[in-house]
Amino acid sequence: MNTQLDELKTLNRNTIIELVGDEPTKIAKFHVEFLKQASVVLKSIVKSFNISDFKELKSQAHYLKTSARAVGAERCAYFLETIESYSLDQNKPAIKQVIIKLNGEFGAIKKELTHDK
Amino acid sequence: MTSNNRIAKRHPSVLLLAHREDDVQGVAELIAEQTDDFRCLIVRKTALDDIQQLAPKVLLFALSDVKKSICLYNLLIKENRLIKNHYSVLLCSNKESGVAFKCCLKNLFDSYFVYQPLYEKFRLQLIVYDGLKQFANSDTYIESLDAIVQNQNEELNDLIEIGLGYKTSLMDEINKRKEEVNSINQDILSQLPEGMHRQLMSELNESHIQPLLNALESSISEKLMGLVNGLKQSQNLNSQLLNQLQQPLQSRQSIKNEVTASNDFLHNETNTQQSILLVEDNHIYREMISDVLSNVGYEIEQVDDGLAAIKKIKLTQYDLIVMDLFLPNLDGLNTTKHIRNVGKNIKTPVIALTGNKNKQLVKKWAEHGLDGYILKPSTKQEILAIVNKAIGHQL
Repeated sequence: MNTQLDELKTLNRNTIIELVGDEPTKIAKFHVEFLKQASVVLKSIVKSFNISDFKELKSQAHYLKTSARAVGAERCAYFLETIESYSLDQNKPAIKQVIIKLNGEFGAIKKELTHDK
Repeated sequence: MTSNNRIAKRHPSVLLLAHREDDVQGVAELIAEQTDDFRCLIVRKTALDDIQQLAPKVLLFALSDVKKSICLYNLLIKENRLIKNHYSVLLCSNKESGVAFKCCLKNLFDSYFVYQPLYEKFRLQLIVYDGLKQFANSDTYIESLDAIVQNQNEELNDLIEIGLGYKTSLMDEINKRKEEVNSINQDILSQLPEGMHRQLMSELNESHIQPLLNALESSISEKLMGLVNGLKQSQNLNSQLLNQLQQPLQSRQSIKNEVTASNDFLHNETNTQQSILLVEDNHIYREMISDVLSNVGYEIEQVDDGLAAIKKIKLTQYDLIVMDLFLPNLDGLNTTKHIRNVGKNIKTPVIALTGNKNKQLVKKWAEHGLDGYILKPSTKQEILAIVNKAIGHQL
């Protein structure tokens, strides 16, 4: 699992370029949108985790994974998929660890985007 | 039987309906034992008029089978031949008791009784009594029933009387306690500080009623504005039409030509721009896909769940539907099943938006009319290739 994770990028810009074209303004807009969405969904994920609503937890993780993949947030998408998988097993301790990593990953994306500016 | 029919009675309270007198002889005797206010009517061609004229309060349907009894009762209700608060009883044979039970369960009849064979005689009398109880003169029937019971067994009668005594004292006790509780409640209410109920009402008003009224007001105002705008548009169109009508014939002909040319243009435009319904709950990804497709000339309509998609497909025919698998309210698979059965898009190609982990689901989906799939996230080229192929042309 870790070998796979090491190969993934925090933000693979080629993904979004290949999807919407090499248009920096448009790409920047989607990145900002993604961070906003991530902040909202992460709160829902934590809420579902706290009340052990694994079905909703899986659904929220799946939802955010779609945009994470589209903007090229590869590590983030990987963590979200892991949450989906652990939700099926109802493995709460493992989910907790992944949520912590996911939160860190959002920080890393934000940092990378700020650094670009 | 004639003696039981009480022909002299113009409006008997209890009316027994049957096809043959012999069928209901036992039943008729039992009811006659219970009350004089009873008549048995043999159902013939004039039955509807006869029953209406007799205006019974309790009707016992004992026709040759349950089906016929139901039909007669339905007809009486349909033609409004019965008094409104009548009490209906279905009499049946033992083998039809299941159907009769169902009729009562569905509230068609108020009660049912198995009269072939006739075993539970007192139960029939109790049913008739229950029916009559709904009307004012029930005391007479209680006495007559009481007399029947009295004749049975003195010892048992005593036991019943004792039981009734216990029950009355228990009811009295309950009522007494109820009054005590009520008076305590009154005391508590009177001890509440003055104006507390006003404060509560004001809080309720502030937190619930006022926001609801505001929402209602804004909704009404929005709809009114919509109506006013619609009326204004209609007025403009009417003015244009009037202007055209007032112009000389030749001029109108030239306008007609212009309109035709304009319509041709619109027609051509519609033909060239193909429409796609995009169903995806993640608004970022939806916007990305929409951007890719609209940039090459497709007309895109977007919705975020399966139910909204179904509403759209009922109204509009699309050239292609691109749909996510996991959607709120109704998923892609079930939405596709619906598309393939109803509306204007039965033959419209459907393309799935899916992650690579869902191949089994996509396979299942394909069985219900999927025409291709786009893996998330594909490149622009891949998306266009799949869409163009499904829509049947190369841009």
